[in-house]
Amino acid sequence: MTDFAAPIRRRLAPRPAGPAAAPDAARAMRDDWRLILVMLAFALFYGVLALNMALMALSDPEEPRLGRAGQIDPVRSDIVDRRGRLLAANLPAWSLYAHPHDVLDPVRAAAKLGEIFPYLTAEEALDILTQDSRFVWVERPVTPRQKQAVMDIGDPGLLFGSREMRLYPAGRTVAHVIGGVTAGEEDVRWAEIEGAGGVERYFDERLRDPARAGAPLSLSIDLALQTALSDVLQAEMTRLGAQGAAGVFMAVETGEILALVSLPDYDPNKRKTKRDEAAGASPRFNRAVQGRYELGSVFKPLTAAMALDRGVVGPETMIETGKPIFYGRQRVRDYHRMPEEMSVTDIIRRSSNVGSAKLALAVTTPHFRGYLDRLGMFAPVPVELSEAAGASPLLPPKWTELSTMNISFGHGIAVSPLHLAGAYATIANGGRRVIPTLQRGGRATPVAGEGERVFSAAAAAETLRMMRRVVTDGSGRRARVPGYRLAGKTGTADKPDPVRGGYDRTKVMATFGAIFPVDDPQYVLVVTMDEPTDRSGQTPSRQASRTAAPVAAEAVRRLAPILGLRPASLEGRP
Amino acid sequence: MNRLTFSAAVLGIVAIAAWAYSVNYKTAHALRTVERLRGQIAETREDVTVMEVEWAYLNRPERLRDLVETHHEDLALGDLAPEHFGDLPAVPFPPREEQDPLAAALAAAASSILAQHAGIEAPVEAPAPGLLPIVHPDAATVGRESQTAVGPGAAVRPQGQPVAADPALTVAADPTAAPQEAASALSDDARSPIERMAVPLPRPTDLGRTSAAETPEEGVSAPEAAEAQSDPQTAQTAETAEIAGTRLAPRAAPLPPAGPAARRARAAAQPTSTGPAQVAAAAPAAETTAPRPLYAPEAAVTTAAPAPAATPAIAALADGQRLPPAVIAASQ
Repeated sequence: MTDFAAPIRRRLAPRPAGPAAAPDAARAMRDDWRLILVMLAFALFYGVLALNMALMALSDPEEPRLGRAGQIDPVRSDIVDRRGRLLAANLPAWSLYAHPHDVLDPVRAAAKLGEIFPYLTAEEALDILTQDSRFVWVERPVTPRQKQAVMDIGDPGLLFGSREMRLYPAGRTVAHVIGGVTAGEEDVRWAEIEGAGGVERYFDERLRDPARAGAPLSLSIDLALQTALSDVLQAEMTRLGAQGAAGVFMAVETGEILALVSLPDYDPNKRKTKRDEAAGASPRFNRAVQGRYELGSVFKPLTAAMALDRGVVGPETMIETGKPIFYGRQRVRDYHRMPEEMSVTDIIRRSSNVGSAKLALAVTTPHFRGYLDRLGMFAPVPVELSEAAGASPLLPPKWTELSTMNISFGHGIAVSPLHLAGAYATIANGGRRVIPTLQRGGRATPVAGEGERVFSAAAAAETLRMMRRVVTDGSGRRARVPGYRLAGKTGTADKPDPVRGGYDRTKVMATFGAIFPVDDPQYVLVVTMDEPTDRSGQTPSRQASRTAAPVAAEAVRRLAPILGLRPASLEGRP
Repeated sequence: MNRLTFSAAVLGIVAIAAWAYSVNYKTAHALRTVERLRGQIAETREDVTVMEVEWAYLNRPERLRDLVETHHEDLALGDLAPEHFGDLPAVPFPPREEQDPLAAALAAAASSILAQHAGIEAPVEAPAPGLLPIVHPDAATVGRESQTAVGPGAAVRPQGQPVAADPALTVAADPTAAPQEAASALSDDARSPIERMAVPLPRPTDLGRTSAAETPEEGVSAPEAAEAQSDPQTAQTAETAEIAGTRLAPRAAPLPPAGPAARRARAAAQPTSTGPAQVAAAAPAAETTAPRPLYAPEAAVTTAAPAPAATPAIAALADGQRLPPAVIAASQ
């Protein structure tokens, strides 16, 4: 057995004195060096091992995994309504791709594919399958049923990749709120889903945030109310032969939009069609948010509220309304003959343009503009829809006193129904500004101007009383709903004639803005009908009092019970 | 000594190496398990998502509307309208003294001696008022079973719901005692409780059809029930029913045990299929001949109307009209 300790003993041993000891000492030195060399070699070897182990220990403890777990998960959280009903969700699906060189019978496969997929014709499929490339997309996303059908073709050149697919269970009911998605970057294994419109686009970052993927995005929309409003508008649109309709229903206190309807609508689960691309009557156009219209007399309560807030008039102040106002070559007049003098309440009740213009002049143009600005009429509504940002109100290029007079009764300014809903909610909220939002429970962080006082509480309350008179014995009598106390205002505006310029007298936008219950204003409803005609009476009428007002009444009749509002009485007195 | 230490060290190394190997192996195994479980979780989560989406898709507004239209004949569901709100004051209260639990308890105590011999079933727990308190189609049969088992005190209750004894009446109640005595002691119509259980509404329903078909002589046909409402005392209730009896209102309300008077009135009307005049004539006659519990005919007629059961609160009220049998015994 090797005596490991020998060299050490040798070294530690007292050196023999004298020259005879010299060779011994040299040998001892050599032994030592050998020893050190071996030790260094070992140290190096084990050092490398230790270092390796340390590196392994310090590395990410996540084991590398193969298969589906290894791919990037294109997360996108769900969207739910205020009661947790699913509005948008991800569903695992497939994509179909092909290796054209491996396709055995392209003609047969193409014919079958044309039958399976609604958006793919057999000719297109044949084009795809006969391409001279190694890889081509055929169709995506593919549902399980379609996948099975493709598998039944049994062609080795057709292959599937996994991907997520966005599904909208509520379908067209919430189409305009939700918007839609498109595929961003994609791979055989995954695809990035990007918001293409509506809430999906506005909240794209939040929806794609992996940290918040588990928590659904809660909207302020109530699917039951949305469905009811959509049903009512659809039915009334058919009855009145209207081109389109828009409805906004919102809660006053928080500014939450409970229902937002734009008709015609589309199915967000289906792809865009040629008809969708056409401008104007496109179903994808959100009339309630993107549509900017001259809304007409619905602006009069705003003018009245300004005049009351400025203190230039009281509700019973008499104003001369008999004669038209002349401004240069233009004149402001009423469609019907009005009494020589009317109180401010009657101006609203009977909807006098002249009276309203005089109120606006009393407010004076700079203040009038200031009020409109604070009501948000000069900027897009900061609602959480990607389309909203582009919908800036259309204002007169050069603001004259005539503009002030015209705008006082809703002409010369084109705003979206959502703008009006926000302004009416401000009146209903005791004069404090309400900005519509789609987030459940209101905005987390208030935007500029939210909650700011626009009108004094007294002016707002007085305006509300006038609007109540409109419904009890004014132009909005047909908006009476048995059991519910509504306040509101009608608005009829001629549509601009795109061809000849000026106004087309045969086409109108009819609007009704309602606030209820009057004693404790909680909800605001704005309905706008595009080119309606009421043929139920002896003479057909386009006036909002005969078109939009009954629509609003029917909507409230349907919406209020869903909200749990008890009718005040069953006898039918408004 | 050196060799001993050396071999001990070698053994130690071997042991440690073995331990390290086993730990390593266990770790690898645990990692595999974790991976498998993660995969399972992911798959389950995916399944849950798919099912949730499918559920939401099946409940989409368009489909629900189609379903409602398809089944309009059977369900008669419609849109919620302001008229569907009922007024609580429109619901008739039963006589006050019968509502008083203290009085019931006192009566029970007073009749405890009688009850000890008779063994009366304690009152049954009220059917849980649900969102739509529709009586189970089997209610009639359940009622009949419970009738033979426990006596006339048993009222309509959902299948499988346990019989709960009223604490105030536990002294009097003894379910194991012979029920026949109680039945005979109470009245002569203990045999036919079915018409107390389910009186068909003016509009023929599944329930009405079933019970009428099964027990032709006991079931009351719809027109008669409607005519029974011609009682001036219940005119207001009938009106309320018309207002609140909407498409969403439940078809049948749990019925309190009707008194013998009501039954006789119907029995008199039944064989000849009489008009309202005869019913009206029969009712006072029954009143004079039969020992009449304080509440009976009114209760029978009012609960035939669909309105009172429209809301849970009202359903509870209707239940309140059911009287502990002990009180029935005492009142006679």
